[in-house]
Amino acid sequence: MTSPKGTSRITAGARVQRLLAVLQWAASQADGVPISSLCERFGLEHAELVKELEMAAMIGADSIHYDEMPFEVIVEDAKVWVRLFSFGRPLRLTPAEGLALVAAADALVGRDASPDSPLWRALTKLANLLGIEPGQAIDVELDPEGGPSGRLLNEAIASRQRVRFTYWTYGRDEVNVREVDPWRVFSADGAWYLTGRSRAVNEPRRFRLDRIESLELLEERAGPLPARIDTSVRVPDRLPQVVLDLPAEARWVAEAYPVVTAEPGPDGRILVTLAVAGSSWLERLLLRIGPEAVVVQIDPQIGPLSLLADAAARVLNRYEGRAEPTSS
Amino acid sequence: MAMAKTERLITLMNALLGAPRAVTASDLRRRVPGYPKDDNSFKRAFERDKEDLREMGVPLLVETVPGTDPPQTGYRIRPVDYELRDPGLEPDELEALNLAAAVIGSTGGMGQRALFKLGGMVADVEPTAEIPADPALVAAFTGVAERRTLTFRYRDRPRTINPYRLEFLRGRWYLNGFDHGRVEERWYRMSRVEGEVAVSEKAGVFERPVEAVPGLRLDPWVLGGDTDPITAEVWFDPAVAASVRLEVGPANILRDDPEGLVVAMVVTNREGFRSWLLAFLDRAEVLSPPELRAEIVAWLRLVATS
Repeated sequence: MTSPKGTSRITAGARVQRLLAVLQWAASQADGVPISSLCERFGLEHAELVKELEMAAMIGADSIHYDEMPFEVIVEDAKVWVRLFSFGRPLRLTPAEGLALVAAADALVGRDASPDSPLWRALTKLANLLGIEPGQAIDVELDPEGGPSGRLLNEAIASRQRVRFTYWTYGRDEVNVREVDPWRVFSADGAWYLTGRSRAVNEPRRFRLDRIESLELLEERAGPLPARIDTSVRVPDRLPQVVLDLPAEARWVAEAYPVVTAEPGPDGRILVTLAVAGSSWLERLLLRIGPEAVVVQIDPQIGPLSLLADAAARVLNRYEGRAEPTSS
Repeated sequence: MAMAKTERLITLMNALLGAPRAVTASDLRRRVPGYPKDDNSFKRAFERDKEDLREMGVPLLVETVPGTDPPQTGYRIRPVDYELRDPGLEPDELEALNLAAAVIGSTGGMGQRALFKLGGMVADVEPTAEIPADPALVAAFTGVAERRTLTFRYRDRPRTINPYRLEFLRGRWYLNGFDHGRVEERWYRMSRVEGEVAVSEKAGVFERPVEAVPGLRLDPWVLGGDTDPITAEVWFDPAVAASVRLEVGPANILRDDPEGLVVAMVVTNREGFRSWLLAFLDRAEVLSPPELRAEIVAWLRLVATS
């Protein structure tokens, strides 16, 4: 799902378009452009750009037809002069390019943006170019910073401060206080995460931002950032398993989760084997499905066969431990 | 190798762009340096080049060369199809787009490619988030922007729809459109589309609805429900407050202190509500109305004794 932003591997088409963009930009500068500023502008290595410019200077140069020379390129004293005979306008945006740019702009512009803001004006012009209504044909909801906790964590990362927060470990349904040297805030699959070194275990850990509460920046300085920050989601290889006998209405389980095996049973029922990372996760799943779910076999590491009934009794205790509100 | 290919593609495009009439492959072979000598190798190289041009989005016309007998196939690119209209971006607008494309990454760096065409530049910022796009999504966007119908398989059935709106919510893309077979407007989750999304050849084949398509609501206590709305008051353990706040929105928070979070939720899908609530295990409790509280208790009793 993620792709490198760099220019390491690039298609022939992308290479052509990049070179044309370089030439079009250079041609718009009457007094020529320093090669160094072209490199910076287009994120290119100096040697690579010079090679491409020298190649461009040769295109059509040996043709007997003068009109087959699309541009004139002169490289001299670390500067470039370009005159275009062809390719005066860039190629229209492809749907993929239009989509990417509109989506990025829409994500940042926010619902309450002023129509006078530069980004809103830009989005309107782009939408017009693509023949769509701004904010109507496409709507992207994505907080570019990960909300208030994300902003605060980014502050901590910038000033290299250690942080402390209360964390809800969803899979085990545990709540405890963590001290972390924060490394990076990032988004993946629709959720925001913090990666950093957890002080208690002195190892890298990932935390979901929406499970962080009472976040504070500490006085202590955090340790140095590692050279490489791994933001990949790791799933343990060997997880304990459970076998469930589920009613027909719960067949979605086999589609929604990576099941080890799924076999049809009588009356549309389904027998699934699931790998389970945390017992609370399984409790939630079974409570949702309800009394029709049967635990056939369970790894004792996860819990007892009565896991579902126990979980229901525990939640019930919250309701019955309190006085029932008077019924109307 | 890469350099020779770049040179050949640019020369090829230059020969086709604005050609007064279609140019045959053999003419191109003579005019564009760098093609292999052998006939079969030339054919293969020329096919690959045409494919590269199409991938770039170059509108390559294939037509019969006028006045040829027997008719010969030729190629050209009309400038009016090729050229990007100038959207007239002011410097501050371009800068805002530069930043947006840098902060929000795109699959295959497409946003950056678009910006180069508009006169933008590479920004020295690490993207914090990426909006994914695959060929199916690009096809859907083409349909929305150019008013073309889409055909794809969804939940084991072939569908033909007039696409109206794309929405990116909680990390997923959703498509809204009018389903010809079902004769109604509905939402599709793009990740559940099976196989390819085909786009109609003709553009502008339907009118967009006069009124804006309402945004998608994904709240499980609302989605797909049609019971009379009731307002539930629910208590949550402070430990899970961050996640709940995000889901129910600030307008629905009644109390938020170390004792816990109390929110008001309008429920129209009781089953969806129950499923969602039980995910919090004993860190959540329905306070009112008594009717809804009793429903949850009854469900739990049934499960506890099963």
